[in-house]
Amino acid sequence: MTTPLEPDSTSHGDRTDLEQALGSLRPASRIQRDRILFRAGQQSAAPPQTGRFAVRLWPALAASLALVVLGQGVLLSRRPVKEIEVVYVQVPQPQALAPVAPEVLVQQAPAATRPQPWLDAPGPTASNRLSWQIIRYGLDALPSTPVAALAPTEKPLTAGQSLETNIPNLMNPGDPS
Amino acid sequence: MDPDLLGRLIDRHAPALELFARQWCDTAEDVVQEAFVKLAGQHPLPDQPAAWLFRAVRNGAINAATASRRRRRYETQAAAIVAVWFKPDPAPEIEPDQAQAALAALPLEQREVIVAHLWGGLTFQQIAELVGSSSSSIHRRYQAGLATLRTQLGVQVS
Repeated sequence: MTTPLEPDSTSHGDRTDLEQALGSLRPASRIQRDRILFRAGQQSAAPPQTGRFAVRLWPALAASLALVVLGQGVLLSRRPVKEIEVVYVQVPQPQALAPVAPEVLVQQAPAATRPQPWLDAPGPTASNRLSWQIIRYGLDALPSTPVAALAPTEKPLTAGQSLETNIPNLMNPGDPS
Repeated sequence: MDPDLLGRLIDRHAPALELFARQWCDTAEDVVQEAFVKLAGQHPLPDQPAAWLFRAVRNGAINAATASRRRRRYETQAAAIVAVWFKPDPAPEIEPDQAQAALAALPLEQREVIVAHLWGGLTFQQIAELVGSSSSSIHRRYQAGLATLRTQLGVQVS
């Protein structure tokens, strides 16, 4: 059975003279034992191997994204230009329509809007005449003197007569309210 | 990782791993050092640390060789690095220089199997898993490489 230090020791007894003569030669070595042990100890104190992935992750990511950008740039520069194509489409002209006679709508005005015949001329009575005058010319056309005061049977009071008539009423203070 | 275990692994396998890495690149010690540092950061520890180390060194050496070729392409003078593969031995059965030259002349597929088995101590099954081949194929490569070495070094072997 082999061991780490003696990988193969079973066939040494079966060696020929040539093999024994060659095997007696000692390989020259310039290996520095202490240096190897020092570097091995130095490596054992180094940070764990997991850091390498993080160190290489971002450069790899940046490189891959740069490749993507480069590829898209190439695709963009080589994209075929779409030419504008003008297509004329024959559209049938619509036939001229026959002139249509305008439809005249005759609508009878409502009775309420028709002028009243009695407004065309003043009526026979004074009330009719006054109403006709107001409708026709407005309130401004009314005479300043009331119609009742113009009755021929009564004379209008002067200012002095009116004052004398009303003095008793003016002098009476009246009851408290 | 236990420093004592790491120290013992270095003492036991570092020279063979360095020789193994030299089959591909000139910066073998750096590759081996990185492999041991990586092993120290493994949690949990591999079931077969030696096989794991040889695999890590093989991958690191191939990468280092590729980078070295790319770097030398722009250099006016490439440094002629002739590394010594084996330590000198006062009473050798095989001359180290001769062994290095003969070994270097072998195809890489045979060299890596011989180094991993003879000096690394890996089984043929472990080497087969290391290089991605079958155990029988690895054994054939090993035997073919030894036959070539025997032809080239036969006079030196007593």
